[in-house]
Amino acid sequence: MSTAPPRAPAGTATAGVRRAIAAGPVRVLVAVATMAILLVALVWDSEWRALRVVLTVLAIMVAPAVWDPQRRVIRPAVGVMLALILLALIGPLFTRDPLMLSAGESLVGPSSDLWFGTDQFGRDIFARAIHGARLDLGVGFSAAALAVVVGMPLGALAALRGGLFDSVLLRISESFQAFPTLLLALGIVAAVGPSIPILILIIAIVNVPVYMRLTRSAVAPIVNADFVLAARCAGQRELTILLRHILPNVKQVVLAQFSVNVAWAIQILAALSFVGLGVPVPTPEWGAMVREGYEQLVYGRWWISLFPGLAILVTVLTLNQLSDRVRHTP
Amino acid sequence: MSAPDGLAAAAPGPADLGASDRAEVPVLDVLDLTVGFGPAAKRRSIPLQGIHLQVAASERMALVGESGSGKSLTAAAVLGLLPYGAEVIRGSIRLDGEELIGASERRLRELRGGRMAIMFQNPRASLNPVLTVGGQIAEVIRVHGDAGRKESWTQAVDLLSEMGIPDAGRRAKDYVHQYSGGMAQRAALAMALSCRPDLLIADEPTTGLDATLQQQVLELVVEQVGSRNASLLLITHDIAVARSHCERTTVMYAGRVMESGPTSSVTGSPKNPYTGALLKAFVTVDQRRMYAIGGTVPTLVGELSECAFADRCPLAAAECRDGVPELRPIEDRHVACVKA
Amino acid sequence: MSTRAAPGGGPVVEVRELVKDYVTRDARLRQHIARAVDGVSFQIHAGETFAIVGESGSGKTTVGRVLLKLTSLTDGAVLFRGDEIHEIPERRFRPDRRHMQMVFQDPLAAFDPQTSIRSSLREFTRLRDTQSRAEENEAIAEAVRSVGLEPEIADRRPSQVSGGQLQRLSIARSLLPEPELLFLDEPTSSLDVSIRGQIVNLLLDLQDRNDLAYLLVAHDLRVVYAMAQRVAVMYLGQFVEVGSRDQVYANAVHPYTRGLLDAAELDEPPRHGDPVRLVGEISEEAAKKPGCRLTQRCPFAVERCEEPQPLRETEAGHLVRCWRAIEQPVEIGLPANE
Repeated sequence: MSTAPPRAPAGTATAGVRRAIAAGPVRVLVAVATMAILLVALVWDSEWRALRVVLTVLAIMVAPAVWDPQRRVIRPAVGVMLALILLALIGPLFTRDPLMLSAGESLVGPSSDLWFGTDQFGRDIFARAIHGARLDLGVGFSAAALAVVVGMPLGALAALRGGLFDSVLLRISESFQAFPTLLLALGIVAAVGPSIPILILIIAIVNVPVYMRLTRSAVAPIVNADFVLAARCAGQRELTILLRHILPNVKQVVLAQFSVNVAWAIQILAALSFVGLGVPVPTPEWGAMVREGYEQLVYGRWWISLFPGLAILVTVLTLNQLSDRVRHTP
Repeated sequence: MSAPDGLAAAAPGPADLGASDRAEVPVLDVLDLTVGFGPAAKRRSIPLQGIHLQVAASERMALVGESGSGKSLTAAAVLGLLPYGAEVIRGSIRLDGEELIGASERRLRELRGGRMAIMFQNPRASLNPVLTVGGQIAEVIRVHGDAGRKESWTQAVDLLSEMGIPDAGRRAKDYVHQYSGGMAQRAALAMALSCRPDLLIADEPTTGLDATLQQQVLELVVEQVGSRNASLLLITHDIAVARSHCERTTVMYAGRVMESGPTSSVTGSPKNPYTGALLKAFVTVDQRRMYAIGGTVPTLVGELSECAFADRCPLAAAECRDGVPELRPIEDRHVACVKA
Repeated sequence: MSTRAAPGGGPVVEVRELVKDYVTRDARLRQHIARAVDGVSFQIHAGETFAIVGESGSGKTTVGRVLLKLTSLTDGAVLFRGDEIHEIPERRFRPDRRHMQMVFQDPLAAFDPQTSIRSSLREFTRLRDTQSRAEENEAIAEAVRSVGLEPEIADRRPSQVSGGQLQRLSIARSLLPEPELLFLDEPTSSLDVSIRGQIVNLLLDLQDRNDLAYLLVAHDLRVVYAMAQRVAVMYLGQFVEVGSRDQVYANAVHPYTRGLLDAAELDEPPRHGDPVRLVGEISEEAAKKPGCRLTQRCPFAVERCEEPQPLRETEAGHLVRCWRAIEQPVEIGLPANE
């Protein structure tokens, strides 16, 4: 099933393909060859195979977006982000087993053989960091996406309808936001118990009010714009107007928020894992790895916490940078 | 400020332009002012090309033009407030005989609000929303004079009352958002006149206002400028406004002066077809038809090699395309048109 | 109502005693009612332009929006070809929107900045019976040509064409559903002076060609003079003077109309009566008074003006809301009644 190439979704992906073709035959050849190799490699691995094949193909398709054709420069944030995503998707195929215990090799420092060293149980930190990327990015993106899917229509509806609906929704979102985000997440996890789907759900829930309010304030000035009135003159239905005219005009604001939000989600996940309420041991996750290593810091074994910590830092910075770019693109 | 190769150095320009019958130095003397956007190597546009403009003491001059004609940019150049990226390529701007191009920012700051003042289209933009109206005017009076706190406040209240604001003592303590549109424009005028300028530049001061209010505000500006013996440079897109409120009129199009002279003759018997077209566009000629100028208003003009209006002009002929028409004296005015 | 009752005969649209209140709530949730339109009546026939002039805040744009059912009304009726459109639920009314369209003041605001002009126009072809993409494109090309532009221009974005061209495209768009009534909301006031004449003449040509009824809302008295057969002068939600174009321009009676004409400095037509200078500016407080709303600005205001003023006919088809103008013309600088 994975041999049939998935149909390219509209938008950036097809635009990416068009740009790639425009970039010249040599580059297209290289891209196709890389894609083939990656596909074969992916088929060999077992977990979530179909989804990961699709995601990988998508990531490669948007790869030409790294190049800014107008200013003729590389967009570093896009490049780093794509590299991180590809690493998370296919990196695990090329590392050691992140769960393999090896008593003889515990607490070994970084070397040419073990790039990031090993932890107190002798597990390869490099392998764990790469596998952690899959989990952190996966949870981050899906939580942020879930929050957008719920928050954006709610916010747009609140702005469109106004009145009681708007007031009630606002009060609910305010009561959510009155709690510190992390505390709220902690409370829910403590009550329900941690598992990855639950974590995604919780991180999404605490972020829904953010999108709701953002969309609401972005939509409010557009609701009475002349072009919306014109669409009503054209006999368009409310829903069509919302989808065709209003939401496309606020997508940039929401998209800018999205990448910041992925970063937040990763931070929340890391923080939850750090206090022991995140992913169950021994699953590799960056926050959990930092916690496992911090006791070793006083003995001078810095590498256990440093590398996952660096991974969080780089990911969050890149996402923030990406959001900044989106916001300032005309 | 040296002329780049691309621009042929224009003729020195008529020195007596505008103030022919007055012996003294004009309050404002703009000669051959040329402004470009972007660095010389890759100049994107030349929005002002060889502008000549003279305003004599206690004279009211109207600067008329459509959007993109460069009328507001001319005012910005006079004030030393050109937008980022714009620079003066050549020409001179003199205020009471003092050269402003190349003057220090400090000197310009002294002159702005001292000898020349500006009044904008949106009065709320020139008044600070978090300070009381009277307080701001009093502050300007203190900065540019030696009045004390109490004295400057009294002067500010007097000024507001002169501008026709009823109950000025109480209204001076209000903020600008508590003023109606007409009142806010009166307060902006009080602010502009508070330092007794020699030259008031009014940039479309009534454009957002309704007709009845426009009339009131313009009459007030004319009256107040007159009683202070100041000069007025009124920037407007409405040649009818120029006709009823100013002694002299300069018509601009695509960054060039098209015609300049006494208002009565410029609007009474226009010599440049563009002035004529503009006048006709403001006057209904027939029942179910309005006078229309074909084509569109040019934007982002580069260096011209022909008359800017040639494409839309009803009188355009081959000689109109042979270079940019020079501004030459004809009877009591100056006209840039080979057909005049 | 999609069948046209008696084409040619009877008005296209009739407005009866229209009232529109805007209700707002302050921070303490107290209701504030602002009456934007207060008892306005008029009719527009096919091929005719009815103009409403007045300063901003007079409620003239609200009348147009109620007329097109873009906002609800508080009281009164809007009859389109004899049907009260405000009684039809929006869902059923949508296909009938093809009969009434609108041209906006600022064309740049009237087009969705995210889409091409073509896709904005395409939306309006859905109201007609076009079947295929090709038919849609043909209809669009024809509409764009009818406003004097090349069809290729529709492939650009709204920000890539000039204001005058975009206003032409906006007019083309409003004509795509083949309407009977156009609401022109200040169609020239955002345009350069040299472009205004082009747009006015285009609108006049299109009216002649398609027998369109126009509701023109404007404050530019030159545009109104060129376009309208009948003119209403509106002040704070009420008509203060209604009549044929010549009655209102050459024979203005109400002090407000005379003040507007005086301020507009038209070269023609010659007016009768002394010029009137209005003082002060429009204030919503005055709309709450039972009597004449102009008293604070009117040089002729006396005590009796504070009593309610009805619209009274001075001559055939010429209505005025001012007792002094009718009973004491000479005192307020008008020639004596014949």
